[in-house]
Amino acid sequence: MTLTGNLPFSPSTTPLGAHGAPVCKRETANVLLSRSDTLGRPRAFIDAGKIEDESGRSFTATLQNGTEHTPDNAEARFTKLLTGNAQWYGPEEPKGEHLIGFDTVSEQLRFAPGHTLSEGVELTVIQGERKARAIHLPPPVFINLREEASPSEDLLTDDQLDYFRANGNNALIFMHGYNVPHGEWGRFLKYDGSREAYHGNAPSFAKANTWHPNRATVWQDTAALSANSSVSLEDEKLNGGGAHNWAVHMEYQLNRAAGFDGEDWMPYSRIINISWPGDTGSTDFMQAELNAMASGRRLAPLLLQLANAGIAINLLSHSLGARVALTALNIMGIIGKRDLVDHLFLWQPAVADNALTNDSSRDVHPLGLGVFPAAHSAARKIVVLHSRGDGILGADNSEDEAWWRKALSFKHPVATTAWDLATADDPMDDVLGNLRGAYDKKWWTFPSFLDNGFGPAIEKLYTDYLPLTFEAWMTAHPQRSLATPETLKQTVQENWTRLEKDILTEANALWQPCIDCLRNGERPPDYTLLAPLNHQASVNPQMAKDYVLRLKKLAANNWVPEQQPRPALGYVGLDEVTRRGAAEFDDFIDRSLTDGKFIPVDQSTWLFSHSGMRIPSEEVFNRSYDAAIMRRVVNEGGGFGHY
Amino acid sequence: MSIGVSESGRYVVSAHRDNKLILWDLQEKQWNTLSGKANLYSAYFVPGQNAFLWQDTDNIVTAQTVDGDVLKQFQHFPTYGHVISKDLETYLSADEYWNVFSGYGETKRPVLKDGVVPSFIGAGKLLNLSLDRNNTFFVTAGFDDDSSVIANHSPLKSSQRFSKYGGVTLWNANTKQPVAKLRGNSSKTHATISPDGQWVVSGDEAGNSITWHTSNPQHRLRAARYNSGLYIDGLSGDLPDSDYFDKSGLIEAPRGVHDFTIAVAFIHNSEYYLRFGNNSHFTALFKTGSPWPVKYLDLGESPKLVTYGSQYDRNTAIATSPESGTLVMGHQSTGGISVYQFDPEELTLERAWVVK
Repeated sequence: MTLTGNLPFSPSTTPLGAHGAPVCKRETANVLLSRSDTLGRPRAFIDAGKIEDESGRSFTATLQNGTEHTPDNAEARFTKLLTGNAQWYGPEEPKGEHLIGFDTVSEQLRFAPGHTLSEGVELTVIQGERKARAIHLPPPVFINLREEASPSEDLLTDDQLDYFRANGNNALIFMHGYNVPHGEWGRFLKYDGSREAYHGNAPSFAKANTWHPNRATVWQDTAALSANSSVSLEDEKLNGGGAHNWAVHMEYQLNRAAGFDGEDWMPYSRIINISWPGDTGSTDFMQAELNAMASGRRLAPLLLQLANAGIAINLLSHSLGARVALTALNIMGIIGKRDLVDHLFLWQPAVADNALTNDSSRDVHPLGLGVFPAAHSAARKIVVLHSRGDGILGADNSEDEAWWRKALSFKHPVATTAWDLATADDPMDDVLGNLRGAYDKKWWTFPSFLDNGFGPAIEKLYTDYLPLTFEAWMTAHPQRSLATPETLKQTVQENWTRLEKDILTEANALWQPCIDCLRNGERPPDYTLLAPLNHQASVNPQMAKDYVLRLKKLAANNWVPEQQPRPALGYVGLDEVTRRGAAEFDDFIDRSLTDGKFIPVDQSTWLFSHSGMRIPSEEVFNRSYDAAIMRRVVNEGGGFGHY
Repeated sequence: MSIGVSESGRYVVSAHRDNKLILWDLQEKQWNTLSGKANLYSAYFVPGQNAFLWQDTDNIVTAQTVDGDVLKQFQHFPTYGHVISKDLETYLSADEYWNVFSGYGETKRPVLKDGVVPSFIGAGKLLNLSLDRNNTFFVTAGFDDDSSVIANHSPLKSSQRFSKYGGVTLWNANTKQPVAKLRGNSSKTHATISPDGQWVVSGDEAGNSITWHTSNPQHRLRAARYNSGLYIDGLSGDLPDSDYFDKSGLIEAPRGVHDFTIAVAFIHNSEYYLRFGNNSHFTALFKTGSPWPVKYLDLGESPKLVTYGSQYDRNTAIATSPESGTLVMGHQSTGGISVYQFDPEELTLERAWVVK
């Protein structure tokens, strides 16, 4: 080896190949990408994004169909990529899915939703063909009852139905409350590493936040992200507004209550969100009530769809969402669907405290929409989560004092005096005890009587039949006072005659079709003139006549009801209707507490606002979400996802 | 506030939110603050002795006589309720997750450790512990009910999130094994065992109160509801509401009495017990094993008692000595107590002492 010893370097014995070869001669390879959801079910690609290989070149894919067991476009083939390190930039799917995992033979990467939008996913291209699977959260499930829609749009798609069947064979449906607009989804914050370059600069020079265009359909931690941001972030930017904000908050907290750790998104389960038109303005509560019942009517076929598919159902409503849920269940109960849902959770329900009775004669609402006599039979258990700390449903929250006093002073001066008395030095319970007797529950004026009461909603309903009261006409049209009272009275009488006839016509026309539709699992027709009875499956002629009588009585009293409303169920719970000596003691509710059908959860010592569950304190989370709701769903019901 | 009453009815020990431990002498009508470092949930009187149990904020549990002699002392996790037997040999304690342990130190063993929901954090109340005088049984009572059977779910299966033993459970005090799940309650639930170990009585947030005989724990004896009467189990669901209730033994109830129950407590040996309603200053007297309230007793409207304000987490501030007929109740907002004496012949409850 003398010759070798004289060389200025040691020769390499490695053959030419993967390393050291000129770029133009390195091997190329393919990537075969498939897509699945968190249940492992194959999903189709719409756009498979792009891969940047080690040389920086970008490749798009050819979509192909995979096997006969996968949907069309289930595979994406990227060809002739340079072997080595690469980056896949997968677009978020338009339906609101989020990438949370990326599996290869050797690696299983996991991400938080939105995490990969800026930097993509690292991928090693190997010789031959690299197989990889992108895992997405299923899209959110959002039923929009605010728009006119064909009946099928109020139902789940086959794909959604398959999801809930595969994910534990259960579904939880959430209904938001009063005064919640539809809103929009939030966004993901765009991560910008260059922000570090501004370290030490004055805040006014800080770069503004930028946002990915992709919709964020899961909750993001506003506080944590604000801590890492140069400016404070608004929850609405990240988590959306209105019903969408409620949707992501509730879904996240429910998953967390079921055991979701905030890190591993594989078990994360979607809920069914119902968006309904409850935002009628803070002074038009009755219109919101009418909207709730019309929405509940549209919800009923969805319950039938799920039940017919064998999927266990839990309903969770907030505030006036209770009226949506109770309407749907009342209709189901009327047509004989017993125990259709495992649990109905009524969280701060904005309905009367005797709403759950089976006796419609106990209804103190002048138009007969205060109770849901058949709803109980459609639910195995009904859990009432209530709190006297709820300043919206009752008078106990100092934060709402200004609004409440202003509202009360307009309509009920006596109640304002009561409020002054109540805010004196006496302990609250003492004062409330006196008020109950002294003010005949005027203290518990329900929001529907604030400012507008019944009049506007009713007159909107019967625009084509006005005037219906003599006094209203005189007040509304003083310039026409020259008309003789006799003529006006005749006009009013003629309007009533027409209205009564048309109401009876509507009842006769829709009575049987309503029953037929419901028995077929279809959406029942809406009542329009009889809209206040949309919580009934159908209205027979006798019910319609009774309604007309109630309406006339209310009109004769200038839309002011004779009887005080019941206090809100979300404020007093089932306390007032089951206490010894109560005027409105309810035998059925008392029995249902005894046999365990109705379950009260008094949250007065930990829930201090009407909507405290949207961004819950630790106590609200542990006590209400965990112990009162999710423990029941998981231990005593059909479960929540696969938890 | 937690309270314990001596079997003789002479002494009361209480632990307060401000960490004070107070020993009250009902005979002399005076009291002494023994410590400023007491665990709020730890005041308990040793049955049959003039000695009590408490824990300080350094987590030392002490059993000491009213004269100050220390009988037993050990380091222990912060207890959320504990009980001890007359011979000081059986010690049971609960932590904030409603895990239950027997013993302490080297002899500490888990009795119940099967999930973190519900818990003290998660239900807003203690898992109530109750031990009979003969050390035969003890009872745990917390939140709601559970329909699963004992054979299918070990009380020590700690990997799951939701406990199967959060409701009322009867346990064997020697083997520390569950004997029976006592079903029928809803939401926040309290239960206690009679001194002789023969009866378990419960009361809950939905107004249900149930009695079981420990020799036949599957048989549920409902107490009557004050307004509607005794619910008749097993009827079909289509009858008029009034058909489900037997009113034959009801007595007239005063306005303001309430079924929704914060606590139950034996007041005369194992023969009579009291049931305390939420937001009410009345208590109902029951004869054990009978569903009908015998009498409604007025505890007095003022000072306002711990039964006001939906404070199910403060049912430990209601304590009795069934042997002497003594009832002691905390007040709603102050650290004071009211002391009552029960007369088993006249069936009256006299307020003997009020400290505001």
